[in-house]
Amino acid sequence: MSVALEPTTTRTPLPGGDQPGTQPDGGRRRTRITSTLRGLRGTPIGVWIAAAVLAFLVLAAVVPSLLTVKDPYIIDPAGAFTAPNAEHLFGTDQNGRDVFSRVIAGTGQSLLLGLAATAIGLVLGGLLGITAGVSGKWLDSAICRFVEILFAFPGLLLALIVIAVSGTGVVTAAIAVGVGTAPGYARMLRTQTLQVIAAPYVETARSLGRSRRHILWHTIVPNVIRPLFVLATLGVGQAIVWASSLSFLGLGAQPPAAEWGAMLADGRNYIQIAWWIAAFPGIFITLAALTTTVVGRHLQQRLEAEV
Amino acid sequence: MTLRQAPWAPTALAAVVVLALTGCGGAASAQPDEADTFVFATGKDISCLDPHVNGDMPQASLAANYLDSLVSQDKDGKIHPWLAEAWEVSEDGLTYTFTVRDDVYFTDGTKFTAEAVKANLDHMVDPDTQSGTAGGYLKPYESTEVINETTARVTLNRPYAAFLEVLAQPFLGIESPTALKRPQAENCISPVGTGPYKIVDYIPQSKVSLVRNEDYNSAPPFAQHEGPAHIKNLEWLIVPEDSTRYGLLRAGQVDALDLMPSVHFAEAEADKKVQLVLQDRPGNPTNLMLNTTRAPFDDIKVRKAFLHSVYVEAGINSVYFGTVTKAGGPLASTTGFYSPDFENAYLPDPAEADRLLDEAGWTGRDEQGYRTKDGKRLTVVLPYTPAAWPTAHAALVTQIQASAKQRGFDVRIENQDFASSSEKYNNFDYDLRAGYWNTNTADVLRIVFSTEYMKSAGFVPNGSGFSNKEFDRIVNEALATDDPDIRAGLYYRAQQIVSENALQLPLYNQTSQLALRQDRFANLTLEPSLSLPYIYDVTAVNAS
Repeated sequence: MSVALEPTTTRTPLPGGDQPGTQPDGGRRRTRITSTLRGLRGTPIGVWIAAAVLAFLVLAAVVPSLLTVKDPYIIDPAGAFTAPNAEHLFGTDQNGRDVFSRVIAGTGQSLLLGLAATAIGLVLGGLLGITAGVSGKWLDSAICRFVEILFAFPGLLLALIVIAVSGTGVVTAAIAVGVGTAPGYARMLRTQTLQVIAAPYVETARSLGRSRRHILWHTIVPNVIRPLFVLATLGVGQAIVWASSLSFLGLGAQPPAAEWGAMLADGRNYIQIAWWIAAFPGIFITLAALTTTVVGRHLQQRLEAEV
Repeated sequence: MTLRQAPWAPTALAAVVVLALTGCGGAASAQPDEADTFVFATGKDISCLDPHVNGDMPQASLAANYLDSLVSQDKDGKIHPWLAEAWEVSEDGLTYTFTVRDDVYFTDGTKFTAEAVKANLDHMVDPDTQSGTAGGYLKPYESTEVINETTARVTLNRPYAAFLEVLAQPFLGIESPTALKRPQAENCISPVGTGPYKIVDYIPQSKVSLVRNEDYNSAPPFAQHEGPAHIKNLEWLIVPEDSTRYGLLRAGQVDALDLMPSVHFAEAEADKKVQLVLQDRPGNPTNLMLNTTRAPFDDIKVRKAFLHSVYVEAGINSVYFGTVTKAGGPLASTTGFYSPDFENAYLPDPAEADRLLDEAGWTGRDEQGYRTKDGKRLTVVLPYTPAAWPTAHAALVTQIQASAKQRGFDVRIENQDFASSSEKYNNFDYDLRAGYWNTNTADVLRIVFSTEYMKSAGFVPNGSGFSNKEFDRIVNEALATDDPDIRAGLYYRAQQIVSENALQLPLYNQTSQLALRQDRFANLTLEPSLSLPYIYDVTAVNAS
């Protein structure tokens, strides 16, 4: 592969360490708990804030009724363009709908879209990357060339192509963003796979006479997949922004859905007379992307420090 | 690895999305300080510059500035000579003999002759041209015979009293026969006319550059001067974003715009530098067509219930800020033979809507509150292209969706690109379709509601799929007579039939809403047949 990718984890196997498949479960768990405690103590304040905001967003996504009692879909033409006040914290939009309850209602959809798209991207990218990593020269280079072709398209464009073929909607948007991010994951996971294969503990397993299949599923795959959790946290932020972009373009969530990107698109032409219609969904997109990225980045550093 | 090197990338992207809405996406490349360049910003993209192909309003707007027509129409609807100096109509109304001017040249050097008349009319009716509008108007056209260089005899297959009126529209503007011989794709980007400007460059989805035709000698009677246009260069920018377009005008990067965003009307009216040019257009008002060819709108009770379910006026007042006129019947109030009797045929009436839906058998309710019949939900699909409509229209449609929901309708607004929605529109694959038809005669009723317009080489005008023998007979009879009293009676009955059958949800009159930087330019007028922006008479205002 032409671009040398920095590994997510520089993995020097600890002697008798926590490698899955080489040690009983108990030892591994103990190591993890102590390292988690060690990590929490040194967590910077910024990460705590990000985590708190993220927790709020998750709360809004899971139980929106806890935060607002207003119906986000009820229109009231006479009450359109009301500035933020005690009754409407974030004001009302061009159709007289309560912007606060719409932003809260949109949290679930946006986060879910981000998670689903990342999951799709990871599964697709993982299949391609790991297959390329473990197979022989011929298949490896075929997959690499394919991924390089996909890389020729900017991710969002790839997503737009998927939408153009399969039509608009929330489900297609998730698939589209997933496909758009897949080439990046494929590359990272291939490199990760190659590193794991070259690791001495794989050599050990081989010399112990384990079958190829056993090595693949019990040694290589678990070690490749572990850092995925961190990658996913980082990826969710990007996926949320992309999914919002698709809805902003009218290709994701359909009216009257309360989706942040769609609300931003709705409000942008009223920005001069009613800034709140676009500003609050915009702030929430930024918050979601920012917090998941900060938390994800922190997890990544922790993982690296841990090893 | 992008994620590692730029962990803030997603955030930066989010910031870009936020920034995009503040309208800093200036696209203007013109030099606004020059008094010899007029920059016009239009809101809707142009698929093909040649107005014969397809036939959408943005094409006609541009065409009015580089094409001349055979005849012209004044503000009162009277027909005057233009490229045709005179004409004679046979007793039976089937033959029109045009005597055309002998001293006019196309901007590619081709001489305008009777041959050009034939080439143009044949081009419009050619199925390959895919002409929904011009070709649609010319369904009664049979053939043209070139008698000599200045005489063309047009034969129709039935009397067509509106023939001269439609010939006056820029959709039927006369193009160079030499240019028309080129492949359509080529003519689409560089059509050639005899008009006051000629197209020199076209960047799709961005702008059309035009330069003055220095030899122009065929100004129409509605123009205020003769000879070449006053302003040398005309830049025609395509700026779909409402707030950006208005922002460019405010910033002085464009001199005039169309589709003036309703949200900025009050501000523009208060601005001494800005002049608004407003005119309601005749024809079939902006509406939602109800597809009568499939369930559930094949049932007239469901159609009537839908019309009684929705609150249009409240929506117009809130999102259009009263900048458009509510419509209630099939004709805009500025159309000839318009009758006000149908304006209030379908006022919001929840009780009546419920009664009709119960009667039609939609008595069940599912857990989301939508009505059902035999376990099937009362769903109506509206394929929608936001880019094709003003911002306010999308909001209005959402309000209609919400008020119809109160009565148990599940209105699905499905956003999609223009090509996808056009395909659905042409195959009756929808329940609701957003539309309008701008034309200068009551004959629009025949085009939008009669059986023969359910099929078309291009855009299908009869979107409700209405087919009614009595109606077809009436609107064709109205074309066979010049007697205004008889025509008034026939068109009254035609409006009545349309209204009774609940074929459309009328929203508001189509309107030309232009804004001009009057501190720099004056005399932006409207071409009278369709009220389109007419740049020919525009003059620079001396800054001193």
